[in-house]
Amino acid sequence: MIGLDHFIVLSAVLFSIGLYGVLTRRNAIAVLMSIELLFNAVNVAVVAMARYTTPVSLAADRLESLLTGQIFALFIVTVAAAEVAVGLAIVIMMYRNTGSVDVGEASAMRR
Amino acid sequence: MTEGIAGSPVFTAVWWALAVLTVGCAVLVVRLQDLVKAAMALIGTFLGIAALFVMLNAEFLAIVQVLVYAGAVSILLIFGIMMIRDTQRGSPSNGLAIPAAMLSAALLGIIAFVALDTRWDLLGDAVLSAGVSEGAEEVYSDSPPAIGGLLLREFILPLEAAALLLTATLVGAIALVRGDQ
Repeated sequence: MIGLDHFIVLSAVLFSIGLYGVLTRRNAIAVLMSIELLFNAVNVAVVAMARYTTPVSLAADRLESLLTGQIFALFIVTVAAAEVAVGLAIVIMMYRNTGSVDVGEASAMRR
Repeated sequence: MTEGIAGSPVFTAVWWALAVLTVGCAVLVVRLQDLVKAAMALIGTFLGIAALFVMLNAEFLAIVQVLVYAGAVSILLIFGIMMIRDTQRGSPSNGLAIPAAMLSAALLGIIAFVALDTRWDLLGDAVLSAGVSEGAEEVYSDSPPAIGGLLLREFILPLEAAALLLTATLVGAIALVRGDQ
């Protein structure tokens, strides 16, 4: 039977794959795509936790508190969307200034 | 909480199919050299995760996932890929493949060990009164109104902060790519 453990381990697998992508990719857009994988992995864990665990206070008239995890995931989605928009703007600016999107060659901020 | 459909073999089979789809697409995202194909695999991952949200009784979140990720974010990324000619010659990996794989595997092992070793306070095991149990079923079967109520009452401050963040993002992105007029 599928339970919380399945979802947590699946989320951990997705997070590890995303981390591998962030560490190995050289193209900045590929790094951004891997970061999106990380955000999604976290979302799966948050929603699964909200679905399967018991809240500390679960009163009959305040049952919406069961959905707090989904609200958290909604805000994570918002922040991730903002992050990818600004990230892509930075990548395009970097491409315009240096002609390359290789993160290994991005040394303009070193000085 | 009654288990209902969550205990059925069909649920288990669908879950495993979605898990394989999602993880397979995620591996393609980090391994494919052609970034346009990698972006397509990323859409597959997003859709698989949306389906997993449906299995977690989070239908509203699944719709948001399809709209924001499979729709907006992937379109944005594909536009980015097509605007930058560099990506035409693929995306070679740097020399860190083996250390990165070891680090990721170690992280996976640690998270899996901790998750499986912890005794979670599960909703399925909790002793709930009949009213609470029925009410929980009701909340999960009709969650969008409850989410809207929560967002506009308990979480009104984070909601406004998110609006401010999105405005700042919009202005910031335009300011970054505007050029030197």
